[in-house]
Amino acid sequence: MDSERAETHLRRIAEAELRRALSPAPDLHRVMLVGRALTKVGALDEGIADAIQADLEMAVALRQPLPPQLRPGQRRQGQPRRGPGRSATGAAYRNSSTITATATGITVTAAGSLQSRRRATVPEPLVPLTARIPVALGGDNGQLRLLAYSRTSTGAWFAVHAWNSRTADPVRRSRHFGHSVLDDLTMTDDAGNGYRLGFSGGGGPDGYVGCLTISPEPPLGLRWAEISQSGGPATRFRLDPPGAMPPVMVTRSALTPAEHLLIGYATSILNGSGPTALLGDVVTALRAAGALSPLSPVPGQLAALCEHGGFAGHGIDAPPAPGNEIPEHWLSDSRAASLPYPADKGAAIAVTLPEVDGIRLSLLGLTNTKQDTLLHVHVVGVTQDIRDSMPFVWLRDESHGWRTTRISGWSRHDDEGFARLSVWPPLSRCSAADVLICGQSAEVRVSLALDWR
Amino acid sequence: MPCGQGTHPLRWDTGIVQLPSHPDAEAELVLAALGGEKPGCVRLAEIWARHTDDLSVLGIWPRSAEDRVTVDWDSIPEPQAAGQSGWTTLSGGAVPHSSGRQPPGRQAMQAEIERTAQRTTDVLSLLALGPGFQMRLSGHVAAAQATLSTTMPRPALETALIGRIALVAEKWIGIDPDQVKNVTLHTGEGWGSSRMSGRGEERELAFSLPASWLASVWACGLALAGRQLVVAVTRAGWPDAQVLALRAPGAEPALLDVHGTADADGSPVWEAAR
Repeated sequence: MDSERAETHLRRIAEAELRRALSPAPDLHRVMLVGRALTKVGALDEGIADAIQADLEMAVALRQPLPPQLRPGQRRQGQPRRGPGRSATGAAYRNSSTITATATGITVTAAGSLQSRRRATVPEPLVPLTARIPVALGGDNGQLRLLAYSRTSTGAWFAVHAWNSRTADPVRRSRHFGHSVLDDLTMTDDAGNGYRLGFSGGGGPDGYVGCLTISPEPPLGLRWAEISQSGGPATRFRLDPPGAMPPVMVTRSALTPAEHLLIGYATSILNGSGPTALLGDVVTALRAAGALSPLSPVPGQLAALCEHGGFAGHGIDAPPAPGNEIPEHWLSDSRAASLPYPADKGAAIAVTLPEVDGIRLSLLGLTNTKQDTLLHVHVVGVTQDIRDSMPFVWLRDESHGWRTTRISGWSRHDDEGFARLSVWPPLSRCSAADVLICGQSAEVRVSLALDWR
Repeated sequence: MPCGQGTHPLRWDTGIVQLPSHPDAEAELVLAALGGEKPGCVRLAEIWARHTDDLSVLGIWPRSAEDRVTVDWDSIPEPQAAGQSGWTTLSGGAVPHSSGRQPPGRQAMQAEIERTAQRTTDVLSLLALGPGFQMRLSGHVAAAQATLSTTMPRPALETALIGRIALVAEKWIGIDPDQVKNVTLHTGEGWGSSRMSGRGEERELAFSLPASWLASVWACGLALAGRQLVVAVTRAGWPDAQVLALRAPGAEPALLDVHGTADADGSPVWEAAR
């Protein structure tokens, strides 16, 4: 890769857009998208891309006929005219927020959670769980589903999904911001030992997803435990050892970072969240930076996917690949979308997969809300934003073909994290599914039996 | 420019910013260091000096005389005491202010906000000086960058050249600026090269010009003299100079005597001498 060529290419795009600044629509998004693509594949330093974007935004803003009240630092009526160039420490072109938020909600952390529990611990395999516990969720009647129990380097935890029991209503986030959403949960084990549980995770309209950390750390080999809230009735559940590991197939692959990035765009297109109009610019930039071989089949596959989906104007100059050269799992048929069934049920999985691209992924469970199917995962080996670290995950049920997923919520502490993947189209009436994990260096497939409860 | 309660002249002459209303600017700087207020003119001269080799000037500043960037002195952000925190919105809405000790992460964020704000103030103040000063600062930056090692990666400088030569070429031969491609920084002997290929919408114009072209030709308003594209200055001077100019892409450049006049902004306008 050639970072100088990458920078020159991005600057040329910015220059071309600036020339259009006096026309109705300079496309700043184009520069941002290409800049992000070049930084993601390591062709361009993030600081340089940000500086190019910032200079362009300022250059465009200075050439726009803004109404007087929108001009920076506009003098208010009656104020004296000032001299120039004095320090203005509080002024900023772009307001920004100090709030840290997940893709769909707010990250909250309670006392005794992961942040305060970093210590060596004896690992324990994932235990699948199906228990549902009635809880007060930020003042509403809620349900807490335990998905799995395990011990990793951050301590012992339950992976959980909590939601308002009136699931037609979104959880009222504003009431929970900055506060514990799952208060005063305690656990008692089969030997009568007591524990505090602290929630760490993120929330949104689909409820809250994350983990309950257990303090102090329980002994190995628990047979059962009980959880109660605020001294109320306890719900007992078994902690049976995991069953036989389903067969896992690993296929080595050798994608470049640029190809992997383009495959990410394919998943975004399939779940309706991705760009299509500027893909040609991205492909051209990656080639200019030497990050994408002209012989790579992926641009042609992406072009075929766009045309298959009716997305004209993608701008990819590679000829669309013939149907038999498009990856099978890209041929998801979103027209077969239906509501999830059974709704308000979950299927325990608890399978830890072989490492892909330095990421160890554990599938914790599937839950169906009234609108969505969610796949819950635990991730170890995260070194940056979890959304940029995760391999792509696809699901196939026995009758309706492949589904794509997108991260709709996540939380992270050090190199570990939890993520909630929205499955599109949702799963309906399926008792088995194949899961495909696509990384840069390998693909992992596993077949799962699903018991919805 | 406004300074204190009045309006003072600011002058640029042979590469130096002069403050005629502040004949002893150094003494005023000493007074400012002792707690006195720094005059606006002196402050602006300091800002000017900070940006004479700042490549982002070439990224933001006008590309041509027609590319007008007008900033009113009143649009420059309000000053605040150093270290004070807070937000100012473009629309002047309610702004929270905090006081007291801040945690380190917030201090770093505040410092970044202050750096951004300072840069914004600098940029707006320099642009408020008007087109004549804008072109001269671009010339300073281009000249400073042209003297740096030619082996350094120079994407920003190369893009500055592309952005400007493309607009000059449009006026020269009516080509779409997007068709000016393959523009590179010339590092060898001679003035460089130009070449046209293709026809109609497939036309592509290529240039190789030294970085010094931006300073010695473009920033002096000399890029077009009459109907010829100037590629180098062979004898600098005002109002008469001699240049090397192209009649058409791919042609050999020829010597041309040029004569300059100043327009209403004080920017030079050059014509082939009769």
